[in-house]
Amino acid sequence: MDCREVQGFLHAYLDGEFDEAERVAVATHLRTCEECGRRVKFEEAFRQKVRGSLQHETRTPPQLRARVREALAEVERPESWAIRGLRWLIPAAAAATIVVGAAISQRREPPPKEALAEYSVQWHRRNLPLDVLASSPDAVRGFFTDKVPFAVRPPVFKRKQVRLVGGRLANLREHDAAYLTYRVNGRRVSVFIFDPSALGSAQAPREHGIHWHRLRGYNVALFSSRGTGYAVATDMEPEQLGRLVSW
Amino acid sequence: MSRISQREVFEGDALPHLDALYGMALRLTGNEADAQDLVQDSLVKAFRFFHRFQPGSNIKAWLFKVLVNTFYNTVRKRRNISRLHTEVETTGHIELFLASATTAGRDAESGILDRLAAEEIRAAMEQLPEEFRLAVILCDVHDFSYKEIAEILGCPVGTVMSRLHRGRRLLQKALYDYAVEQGYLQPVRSDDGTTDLDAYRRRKEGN
Repeated sequence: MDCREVQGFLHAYLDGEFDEAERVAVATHLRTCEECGRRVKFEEAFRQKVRGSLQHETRTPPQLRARVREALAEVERPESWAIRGLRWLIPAAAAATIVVGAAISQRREPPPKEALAEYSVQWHRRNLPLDVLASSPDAVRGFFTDKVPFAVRPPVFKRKQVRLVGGRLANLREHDAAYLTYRVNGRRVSVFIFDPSALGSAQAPREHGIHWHRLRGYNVALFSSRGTGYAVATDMEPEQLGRLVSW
Repeated sequence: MSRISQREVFEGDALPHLDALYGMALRLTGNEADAQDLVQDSLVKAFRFFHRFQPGSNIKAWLFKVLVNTFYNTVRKRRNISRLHTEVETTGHIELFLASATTAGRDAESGILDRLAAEEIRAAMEQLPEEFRLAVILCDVHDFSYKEIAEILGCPVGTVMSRLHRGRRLLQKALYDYAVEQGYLQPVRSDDGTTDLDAYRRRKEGN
């Protein structure tokens, strides 16, 4: 290494970014070059000075620690928008079979789709206020145009007694979703519309077939249609729901 | 189910870095109330996204990344400040330091710096453009590697190196000017003379 190289990489050298061979090369140069030696010494002293001046201990105020722990506990609480089951979403292999009435009590490592179903049920149960009240699918679709990064196509229902109430922004995992509420003879049906490609193959429902999940007394149907993902959560029975929706 | 909850795992991993995160948040926001909010928001967000963290990689760097991003997305947005991209010309102030020290017949490497107080360094640091300040703080205060800093700031390693380089040069310039102003150093002629003239004028005003 010559002076130019040593001086050019002085910071990397002093910051410990060099490997053993590179360090040796610098050290060899420094043994014979007084000028570079002075620079190294100065930069090193400068660094120590900065470090010493800034590295004074910052003590976290005790109330912050308490606040943080409380906030984390809030996230975890099941009724709140819970993170439970989140970790299952990632590694487990895709379960491509159609699951009918998977018993929640027996689960150990639930397949990813079950986590998606779990989220849908949580949102359905919370029954949060809606962002938009409208009975026409076009009005609801219009509301979401600039809010989610995919086209919101409300599902087609075969029967007139299915009434659209409105929608709100939601999320399934960290992905944006459109949440639509319908009423069928006084019963509530929640429909989540999401972009299946954002979920990855393990989570996204296949284009053909419906994944049924039974969770805490609710039924969830997961399916994809023409590039749009749907999760329908309701307390109706699958047969009942099946008669209403054009899948 | 008596497994350890995900929150306990997260707390065990993340809370040991609370002091460091709070220190960084203080430097980013400049006040305690915003710093506390920033730390809380960041940790909640990190917890929600904990599944994305790769076990075995550096959790501290990951938490810092979340903190810095949260800062940019929330606090910064509220204050309506855009990211700075400052072009800075820095002539070699290390040369000036060294030359001055030689003229004064003093040991440059320790003598001059010893006379600068910690507050003066901190004040000079505050004046650095943010992108340089962040890089220097992450490197010198928190001991992150270049690769980790690149990850935290979301930029290539080469950019980290140039920010560190320029940040430190700016810091040296500020401190050199200050040292001359205080009479710790005898100014020497620099190539273009501007630095010395500035320092000279400031000294005159001070008198």
